[in-house]
Amino acid sequence: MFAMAKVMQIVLGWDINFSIWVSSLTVAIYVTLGGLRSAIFNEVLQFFLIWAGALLIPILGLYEAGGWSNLKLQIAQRASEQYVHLWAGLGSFSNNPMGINWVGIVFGLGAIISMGYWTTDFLVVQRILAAKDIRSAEMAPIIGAGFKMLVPVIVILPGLLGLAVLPEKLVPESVAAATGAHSYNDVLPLMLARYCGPGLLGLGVTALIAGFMSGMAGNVSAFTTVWTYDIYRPFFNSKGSDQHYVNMGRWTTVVGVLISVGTAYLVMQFASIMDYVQALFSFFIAPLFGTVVLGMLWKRATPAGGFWGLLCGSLSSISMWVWVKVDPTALRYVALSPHAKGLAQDMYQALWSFIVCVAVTVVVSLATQPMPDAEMTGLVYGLTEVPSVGDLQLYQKPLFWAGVVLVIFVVLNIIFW
Amino acid sequence: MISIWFFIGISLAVNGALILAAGLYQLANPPANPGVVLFNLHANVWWGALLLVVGLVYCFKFAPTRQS
Repeated sequence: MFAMAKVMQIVLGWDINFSIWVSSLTVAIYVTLGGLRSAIFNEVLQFFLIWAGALLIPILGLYEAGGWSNLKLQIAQRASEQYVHLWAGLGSFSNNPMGINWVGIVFGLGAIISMGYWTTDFLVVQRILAAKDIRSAEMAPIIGAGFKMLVPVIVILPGLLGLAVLPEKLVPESVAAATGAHSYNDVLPLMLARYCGPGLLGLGVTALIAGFMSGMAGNVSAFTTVWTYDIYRPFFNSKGSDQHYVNMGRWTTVVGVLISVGTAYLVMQFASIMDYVQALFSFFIAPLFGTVVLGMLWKRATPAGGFWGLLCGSLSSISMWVWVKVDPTALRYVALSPHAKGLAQDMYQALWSFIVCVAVTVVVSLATQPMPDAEMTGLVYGLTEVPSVGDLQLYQKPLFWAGVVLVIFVVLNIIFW
Repeated sequence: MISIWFFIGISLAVNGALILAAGLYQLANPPANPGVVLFNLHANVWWGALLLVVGLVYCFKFAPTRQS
């Protein structure tokens, strides 16, 4: 929501508050009236608009910078050559712009936050649940992973190009609010306005707004589904009519949009949108990943263990965040280094909260009555018969494409080492 | 049921046509101050044309008459 409003503010010159409410209203209308089907349908349409509108920025940017080699030289002169490396500077906290080391990236971001996002974020899970068969369900995250590796072309590359070709230096959001300068969050709309004239600018703005709207609509519809089907119906009113649940879903959509508006203002308190998102992931996604993994793979896990593990994991992460907020020097204890910076805090918070969640879940589960196997069938991996994708050609098998994606992933990591 | 690819084709073709038209107009009547970097590349002409072609291919391939 905040990112969408930022585009309107920078490119169209609209007031940020007006932009937030206009974009909210638009999403609220089409998700309330159309529900999950309209959200998914729009996501597919918006996917193509996003690429059609955003791909031109890296193409023209690389042309202006004189190619990838010249871009790297310019970044090295204006900032640091570490901006174009994935792993080379991660040997210590002081050798890279993020102020983090490889432990935080591999275990905090890679093993906890990323895997947690792919397995517990209901926006992702809901799309897979909507698949027509087991092969489609298995292919969905593989195709998603393939395109996810292309996203840096339209997200990270414009940021790097901005570092090289924009005449001004971007600053954190709080500094931007005080000085009127442009913040890190503004780089994509700034690059868009730099290269795109009439026609293209319209498509570019549409692409950015479509991307942010698609993400928000997906999250709001996921929120609505979880509340209506998983909480309201089983615990508050199990005998309502279909129309009653549809109405409940629509009202929940409105509430979800209003919460999004609130979070849009909350983001302004963080240095960048990335900082905000990673902090939230460390609060909720990381411990939830611990609960889900144990619940799926360990039949001895109990409901009490899951509840207390998740609660303690989230509280530990939030406590660390408050601790550093109150006393910034505490960051050296959370991230294990005096050279650590903000994003390192998020990664290590995620790591600690996952460990706390798993430890508490195991201890409480072992101290409480186990669930009988009969009640765990269909919930725990070892007690569930997983359907086969059938007898398919090699190129039709999800495992084959997972291997292809893995090879590309490794090659990209080596190229951009 | 009309394929979603058909709607994607329409979306790309309409956007492409509008961008191409704006690009051709600017090519014929170059503004004194283009306001963008690399205006000389006329990105809206070739990018608009590309979107239009891709969009028309999708529209044709997934047209409701062909699907039924």
